Amino acid sequence: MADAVIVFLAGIGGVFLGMACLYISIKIVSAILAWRGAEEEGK
Amino acid sequence: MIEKLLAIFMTSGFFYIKWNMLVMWLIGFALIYLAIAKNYEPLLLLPIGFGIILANLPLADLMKPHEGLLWRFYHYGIQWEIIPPLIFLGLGALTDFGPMLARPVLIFLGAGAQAGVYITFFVAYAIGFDLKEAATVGIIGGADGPTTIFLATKLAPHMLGSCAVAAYSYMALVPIIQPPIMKLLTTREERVIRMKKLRKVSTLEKILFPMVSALVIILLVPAAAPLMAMFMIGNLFREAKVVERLNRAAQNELLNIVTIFLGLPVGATMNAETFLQPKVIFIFFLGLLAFMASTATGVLLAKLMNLFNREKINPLLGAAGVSAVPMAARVVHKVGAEADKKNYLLMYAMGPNVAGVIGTVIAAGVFLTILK
Repeated sequence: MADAVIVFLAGIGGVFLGMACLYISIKIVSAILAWRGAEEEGK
Repeated sequence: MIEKLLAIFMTSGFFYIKWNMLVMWLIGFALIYLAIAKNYEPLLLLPIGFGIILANLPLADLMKPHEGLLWRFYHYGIQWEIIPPLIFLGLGALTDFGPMLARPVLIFLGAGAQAGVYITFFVAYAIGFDLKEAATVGIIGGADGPTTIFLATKLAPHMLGSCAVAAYSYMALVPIIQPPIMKLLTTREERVIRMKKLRKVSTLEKILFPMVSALVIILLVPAAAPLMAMFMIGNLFREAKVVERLNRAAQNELLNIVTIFLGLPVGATMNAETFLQPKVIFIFFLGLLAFMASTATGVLLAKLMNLFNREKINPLLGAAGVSAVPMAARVVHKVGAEADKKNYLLMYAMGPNVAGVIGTVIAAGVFLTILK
């Protein structure tokens, strides 16, 4: 049963960690693009 | 003369038909009927149904190792991990990540629905499946056929046929399975919540997304690489707009061809000896539980997020976190429209819906990393 608990926790944790990494990546990319867009507008 | 005729008759398959083969034929015909008459996932259930019948014809030996035609499709297509990733290539070319990129926080609903996968895994293990079998049953809740097949081939090949049929059957039944759970877990006030208008997503963002997400997810869960890599290269074909021929081929010809070579051998793995077991009934029962649990955990996560967010999310969107694309998103829209006719949730639901595909791939990758 201990093995199943480890898989259960690692599984849910892994999925949320993966999605959190994806979320942060999207936010970083969109922030960089927004910053570049604003800079070009300023020129 | 009679002896010779009898000898010829003995070489035909008729003489070797057993009762359990007849049962499998009935199951095959039932799937074909559901595909043709009820339009339930016909692209998969029709070849799977026919594959079941073919695999249970005596003396035909279509699944005989190293010799049978369907065995070759199975071995070189599925066991060699070629067909499920190619399906993902086509799916990537068909997927628009725009709604997800416009509201990235909805990604987490795609993760929330995967909790159902792990709940079912736990229940399956508790009732007697071993860890690998339990993982294979649990992934049905991801509502993603190719990922279910991919994982079953690696962890529990003897359950491939039943898990694939369960996954595709329940995917077809999403409009029946999901709405009662969604209504049970939400109030009318929650169902009428209107979402903020989605921002416009630039072409550059859409081009960068497949590359960035492939890097992030594959580095984090290398076992998910075959599916994730092909999903994202397919999406890059779509968004780059400079390889339109490849994009069209991935969306149409290639996807159609590999679908044929996926369905037939999957059905052919279901021979009477391995399929007609009490365990299979549990697989179908647990598959249904997985779909229900995934829907419920998606909705509940959306409600939890509303406790911390100033900008409320319509909790129905959580149900779209199961990756049955676009069926689950359509169901969300329909249930939302029942509460408020002018509430158009479809585009918002596509965000968690496509995130759910990525979530299921990660869930399968985590299972493989730990259990293989």
